[in-house]
Amino acid sequence: MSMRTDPVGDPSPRSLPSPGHPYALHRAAKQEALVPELNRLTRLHYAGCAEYRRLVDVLHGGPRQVDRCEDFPYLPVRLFKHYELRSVPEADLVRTLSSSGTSGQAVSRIHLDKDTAARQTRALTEIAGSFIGSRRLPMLIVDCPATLANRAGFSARTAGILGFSIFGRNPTHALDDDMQIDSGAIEAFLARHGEGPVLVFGFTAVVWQHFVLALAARGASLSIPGGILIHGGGWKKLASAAVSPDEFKSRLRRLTGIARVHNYYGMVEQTGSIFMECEHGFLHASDYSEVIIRDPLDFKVVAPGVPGLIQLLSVLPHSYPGHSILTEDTGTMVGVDDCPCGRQGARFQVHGRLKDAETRGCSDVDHHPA
Amino acid sequence: MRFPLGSADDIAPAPEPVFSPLRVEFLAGLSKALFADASAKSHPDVAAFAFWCRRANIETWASRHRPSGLRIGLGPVFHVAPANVPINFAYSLAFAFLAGNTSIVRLPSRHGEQIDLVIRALQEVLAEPRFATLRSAIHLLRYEHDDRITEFWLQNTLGRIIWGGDATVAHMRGLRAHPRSREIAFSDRYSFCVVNAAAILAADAGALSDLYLRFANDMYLMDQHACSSPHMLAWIGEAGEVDDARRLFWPGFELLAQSRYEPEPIQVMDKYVDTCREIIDSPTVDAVVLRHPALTRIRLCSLTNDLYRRRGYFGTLHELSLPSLSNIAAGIDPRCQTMTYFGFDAEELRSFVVDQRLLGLDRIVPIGKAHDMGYSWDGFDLIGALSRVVEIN
Repeated sequence: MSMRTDPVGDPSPRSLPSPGHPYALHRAAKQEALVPELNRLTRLHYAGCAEYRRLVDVLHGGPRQVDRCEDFPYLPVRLFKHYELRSVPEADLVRTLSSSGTSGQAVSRIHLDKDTAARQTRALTEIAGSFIGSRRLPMLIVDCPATLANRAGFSARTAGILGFSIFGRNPTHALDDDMQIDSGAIEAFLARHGEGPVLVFGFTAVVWQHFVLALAARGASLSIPGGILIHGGGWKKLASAAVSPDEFKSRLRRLTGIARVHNYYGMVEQTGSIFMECEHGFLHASDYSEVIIRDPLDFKVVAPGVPGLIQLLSVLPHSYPGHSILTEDTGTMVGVDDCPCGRQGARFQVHGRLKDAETRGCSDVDHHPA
Repeated sequence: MRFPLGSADDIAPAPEPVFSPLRVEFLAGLSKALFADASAKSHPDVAAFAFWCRRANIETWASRHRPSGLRIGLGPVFHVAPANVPINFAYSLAFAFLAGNTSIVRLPSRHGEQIDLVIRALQEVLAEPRFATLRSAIHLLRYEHDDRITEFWLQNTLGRIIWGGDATVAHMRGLRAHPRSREIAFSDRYSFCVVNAAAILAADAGALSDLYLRFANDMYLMDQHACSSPHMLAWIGEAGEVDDARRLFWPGFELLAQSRYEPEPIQVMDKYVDTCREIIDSPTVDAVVLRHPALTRIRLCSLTNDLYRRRGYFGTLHELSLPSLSNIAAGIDPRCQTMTYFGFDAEELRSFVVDQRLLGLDRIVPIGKAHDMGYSWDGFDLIGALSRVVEIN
């Protein structure tokens, strides 16, 4: 059937996960839930976004109803740096997210309408909430106040902190605006909340360089036994300084007493439907999203265990064609519905960016807005 | 400022007549030294240079182009060598050398094994006592971008060979040079390929597989980053003929390309993103054929006046179908350099250039010879341009 002439359909979500269980769907149930919704999104973006329509027409022979997640057309994520991709009228936009590019680099600009922004918040609440609970915890932000103050450049780093703030109360910054440890602020925070559960949030490279290594350099240590660290964003420009997850965790535990650590993987193009690391060290696709690993040369789907390019699917993006994106990150599928942690869905690992790929600057500490 | 070869204290500005026997002898020795170096074999571009400066080739030119009157070098000549095709510094040097000049060559900052190989061979041959007088005529240097140093050389030389494309050429023209300095500037160029569909249909299997190899060399030898690398293939013939020729040509070529060329993952991603951008930006793109990582074909439905923008790298080729050779004239501008061809005769090609009064196209060579350096390059008779006529009556 031709989708070009089809009505766009009901914009409200039909098959979103039920509250509180964002990892409930096994393989068949997930395909059943995701595929019709993603088909609807393909149709929506085909109708609303001229650039997307042109690519689907030329590269994929026009819009087709597909039966499997791996058959959806994908958009290389770099295109968001070159085009203002959106599928709704400009008047409907409420916010623009951007990856905070370093000097000279193009930035991705992601345009949100009210509906998409609301879906992002809901998905993030469900996904992260299933790890840290629905109760708001005292929150220690491993970053400086300026990152948050700079609302004009709404970077992935800002978006991450704001997004996770819904799980926190009494937000306290662990770093000052020179990215130095703010001992006074931390001591005051721990004096009040140090006994109970505490949410600690930050970007991987910032937590490592400005928190863990900075504590070590001072010969200092903290005691946050009830701390749960959520970190994401990868190593970016610090790739050469990257350490293994095990080293990251053990060093962090020794210096801060934090024993619960969850990394997350996500793209500003799919804010909300992030991929959280479970207790066994695997990243998980929630019921809002799917992950597919492709051969980096011919883009064919590869078997579990074989590293390749990461493609991400998400049911959240309505205002821009980001529901199926081909990233420039490499990873490996570990398995589906088989993690010892009990969560259903795909579990995978991320290895890093394609060699020589442009390094994104969204948590680049050298170009931090001061 | 570092001199991997030669030194600032030993620059002989004095020119010699073109094709001096000692200099011809030296290049022959350089060719031999490169052929004798086992590591040169893994670099087809170095091997091609060694073949180019072999004795027989240089002597043929010398006898064919030796002037009846007196032609002598300009003296000191400054070269800014390109980074994209490392071996070109050697051609640049050899042309200036044969024309009787003393060369000061600024090497690209990026070190390449090819450059090191040639430097080693130059050192070896210059060390021979019979070439002692030539040691002050070859100087290779490296320095970080610094206009004061560049300007010093521009003011103290009588010729300049500027590689590196439009931006470098424009930048160098903003610096002061000696009033008598001659310029040979290699600006950005565009190259493409024309194929006579009827000739493909008439070719036997042997001729086709030979053509595949030659076309693969043109396409892949420099990852399409050389100014003579083809970015577009125009099929010439009736629509039906072209369709048949395409069906015959591509499967075999794709098979060969796959076995000969495997781009890096990041290059495949770059290709894919560039292709997506062209699809979005250009309504002229009507199909993309992407069956193997070695080759992305972007089919254009018509010739546009921005032909020189239709570029692709790491195995990306635009395709166009035109009823006759003359139809492509509309896309040719001064930026066009090399047109490789299959299935046209010399007379046809000559009348194409003359009748269409083309502003561009400096090289029209058979497929497979896109990167072959000849006696002239980029429309310049380099020996002539790097020497002066001395009139004695």
